[in-house]
Amino acid sequence: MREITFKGKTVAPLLALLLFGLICFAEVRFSEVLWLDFDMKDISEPKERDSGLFDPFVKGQFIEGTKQQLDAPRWVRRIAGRPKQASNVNQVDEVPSSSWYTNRHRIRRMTLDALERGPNKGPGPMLSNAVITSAKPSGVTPGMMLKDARGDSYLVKFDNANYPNLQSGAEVIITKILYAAGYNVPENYVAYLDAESLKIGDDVQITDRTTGKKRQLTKDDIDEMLRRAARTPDGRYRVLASKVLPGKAKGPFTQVGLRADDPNDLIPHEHRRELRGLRVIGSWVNNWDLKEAQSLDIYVEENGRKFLRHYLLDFGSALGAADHPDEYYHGREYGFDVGGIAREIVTLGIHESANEKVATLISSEVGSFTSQDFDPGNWKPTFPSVMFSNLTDLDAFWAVRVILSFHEDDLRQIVRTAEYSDERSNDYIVRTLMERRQMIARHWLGKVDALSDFSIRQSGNGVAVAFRDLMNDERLAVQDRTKYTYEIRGTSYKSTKKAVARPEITIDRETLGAATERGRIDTPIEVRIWAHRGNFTSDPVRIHFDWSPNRGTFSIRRIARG
Amino acid sequence: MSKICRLILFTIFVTAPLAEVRAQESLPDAEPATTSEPEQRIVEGRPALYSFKRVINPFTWLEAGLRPVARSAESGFIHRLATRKSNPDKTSGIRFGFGGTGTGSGMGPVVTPFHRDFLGRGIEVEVPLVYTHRAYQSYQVQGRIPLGSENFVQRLRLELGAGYSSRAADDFFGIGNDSRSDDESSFRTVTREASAGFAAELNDDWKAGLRGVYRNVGVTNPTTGDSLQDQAGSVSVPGLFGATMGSAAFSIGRDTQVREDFAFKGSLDQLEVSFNDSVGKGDFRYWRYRLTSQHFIPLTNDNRKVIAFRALLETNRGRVPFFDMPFLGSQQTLRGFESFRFRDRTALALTLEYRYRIWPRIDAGLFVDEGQVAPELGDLGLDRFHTGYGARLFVWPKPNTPISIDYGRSRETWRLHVSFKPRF
Repeated sequence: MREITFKGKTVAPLLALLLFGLICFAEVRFSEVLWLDFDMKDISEPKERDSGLFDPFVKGQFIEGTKQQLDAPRWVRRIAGRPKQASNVNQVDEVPSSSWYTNRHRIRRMTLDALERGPNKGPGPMLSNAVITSAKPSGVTPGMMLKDARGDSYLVKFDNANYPNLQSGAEVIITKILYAAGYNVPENYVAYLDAESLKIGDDVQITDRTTGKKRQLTKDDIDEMLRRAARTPDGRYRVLASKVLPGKAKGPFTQVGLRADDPNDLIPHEHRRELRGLRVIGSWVNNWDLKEAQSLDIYVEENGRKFLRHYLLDFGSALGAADHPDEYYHGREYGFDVGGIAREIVTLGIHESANEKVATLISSEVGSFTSQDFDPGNWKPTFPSVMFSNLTDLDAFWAVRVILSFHEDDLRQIVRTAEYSDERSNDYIVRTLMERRQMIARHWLGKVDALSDFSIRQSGNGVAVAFRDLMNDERLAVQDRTKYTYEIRGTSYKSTKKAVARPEITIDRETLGAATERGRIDTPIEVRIWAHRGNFTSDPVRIHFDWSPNRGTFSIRRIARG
Repeated sequence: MSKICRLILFTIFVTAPLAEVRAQESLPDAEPATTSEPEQRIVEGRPALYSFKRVINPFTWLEAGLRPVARSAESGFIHRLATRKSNPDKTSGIRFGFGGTGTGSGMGPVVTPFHRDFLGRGIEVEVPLVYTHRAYQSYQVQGRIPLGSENFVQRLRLELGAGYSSRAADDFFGIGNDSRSDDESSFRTVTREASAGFAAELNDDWKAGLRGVYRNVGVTNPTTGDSLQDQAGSVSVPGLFGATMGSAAFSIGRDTQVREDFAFKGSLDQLEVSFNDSVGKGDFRYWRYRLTSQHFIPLTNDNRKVIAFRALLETNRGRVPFFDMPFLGSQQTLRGFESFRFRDRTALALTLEYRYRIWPRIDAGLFVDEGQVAPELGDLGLDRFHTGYGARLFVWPKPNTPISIDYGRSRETWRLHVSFKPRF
């Protein structure tokens, strides 16, 4: 066996060549597409954090809002058209699953049964002879904690007597939509309760309204609470039963920043795409109550690991439902809208704010959910939030892709689980959701390329890059006025721009060869595609894929925008 | 040549394994298991200096400072204090509040021990005690003894009162409509008084009262500023060293004002006539006529836009001590001038205000104040008005408890007035 030896004169060029090779490799190297951001490592038990009105209003709206307005680099990036993109986006412009989010309907379509089931794992509560373990008889939304016949604990909320089925219906629908969209939500059920069979547990304390002191809950308190609750014709109470989440509650997650006592929490929440995109999904279903307190971190144990899982809660104020469903401003103005106040001051009150208007109720169980006056770009939750104002067009595009994964049949299957008393309510909700879905798609897709579902296949002696144009698929654009220009790029190659009218680009072998020439054997090829609709030209979407003259397989390595 | 081949072989040998670590793009499982996946993160760690940058931001410190107060206001001690409902069945106790003792006094705590059924005869006794941040003080004892009810004269009461008050440093700019703003001096008054009278609610709107008052007013050096007594010297300022007065006053008024549901509505018209005479120190004898009128005219059915009008007219006939003269320059008169800016025996103040709702529980207002003082009623003239203007902001923490912040401007200066539960 001959020994290979290197002498001094050959070492230098050898190292240079090695370095050159590594540099060339580094230019084109893409890591594996990551679909699971593993933030579920075992951590010690975090402290419980509390949250009240201070957090969304003083801290969220004013403190963090001011910090954001004074963030000079942010303004520079915005003015330059390069806003800070979300940090948890994988190589194909999607959000990987994590303790915050799970790719579900958008990536692999769920069956109608799975959509109908949502997060529910069991048959639901058995409320006959349920035992009250705690109660909140007063307040805007009275409720109680019950232990059912199976020993499971549920938070039970009642519908207002004036609006039967309204909030419970909305909460069940939104639970299933958000679950299919990928968020963690509790098991929420429509259930029926016979008040006569309720039992008061031992030492259930409430705060007396007149004296302000703690005392034992009595049957009279229950009767007083139920006096304002909606009843079914047979005298029972229809309720929303929310199963208590397994694990230890650790308070809501912040909408900006990190949780200091959670080592798994590496991405500032205002830079998480699934949280930014919640603004678009919230606008779809008009879930305006998206404040911090509507979320919950649960310290769970799964597969021998203990970590925090992050949930969204309380959706009884979506879909036009609310304690006061005739309030028109929800989704149209902030609870304290500085811009609205400034307009009122400047116009001496002539400007008519949304909070001056009264919403028209569609029906008592549907509330005021409409597609009229819906402005997807200007939709506002009750409290402004940094994570929502960080939303970029690409985050919104992701959220629209999630929304567009819901078809009419999907929504009809979900809406029927609200068990509305009138079939027309189902039809109306589905129709309105579809109308708002289209309005959202038209607004946000009009800002980006709107191209999705890229695929590559062999075509003749070259390849064909195919994709879906969501604007055309959803009939939001005139197909005849849409065209796509593209160019092929390699290590030392750039093709001339060409145009196609259909969402498919064919690249012949010569071009592929030229693109890979002087590159490594499996150097990814880049295709840049611009969408043109009338006078609008999108920024390019860059598709990187492997091609080898000796291989029959192709794989997309990266999809990049921005 | 062989060396070059060796180099190429070596380079390929080194870099080829790296190329093989690439994986094919694939879609994830719908519900990824947390055990079988590689424990990869999408980021290496927390953003560099992210927490440090947040910590050093002054707004973070502001948040840290505000948090305990806000938490307390939300669900702690402040919240309990603010939302504590007065128990209508409670006959005695102590009320805590916040207020002042009139124009220029500043603000301070108001502690009011009270008893609603003293001696078991329905007698109401209150002892409001005020001390402000400007060291103005007022300690009163008030008693209301019911004499009749549910007849033509509903709720006829005998009212008794006694009190001590000290106004630490009120401003004085001279007497007359043309007094100069740079002729400023200050004085302190210490008043001890006792009163007795009758008050009757004729019906829900009309009220009348008749009372007699004994007052001893001492004028001394102020706690701050140049003393009026030092500056005035030989200049004739009536009552410069105080007076002891006896007064008899009759008042009647109609009050239909409603300050509920976050709106001002209705009107107030009130006339007071009093006769005042020296009963010791000083030589004063004068009749006082005071007319107060304020009206709220809604421009819309929902009361979101209101025109508010106020007129105050007072004239005194006879020799009046300077501290008893009507004055302009206060939250109730000319808001853009110094407190007590103009004094004389007669004063007229007019205010026109446009109020409009800018948000639930928040109103804004634009106002124009006009006012003048004169020796006699006949000396008032259209060309003698002093003009102020400004803007107001009303916040309604509770339906009947507005807080107003008034910003007034004039040709001389600007003033900011904060009022709790303002009457106008």
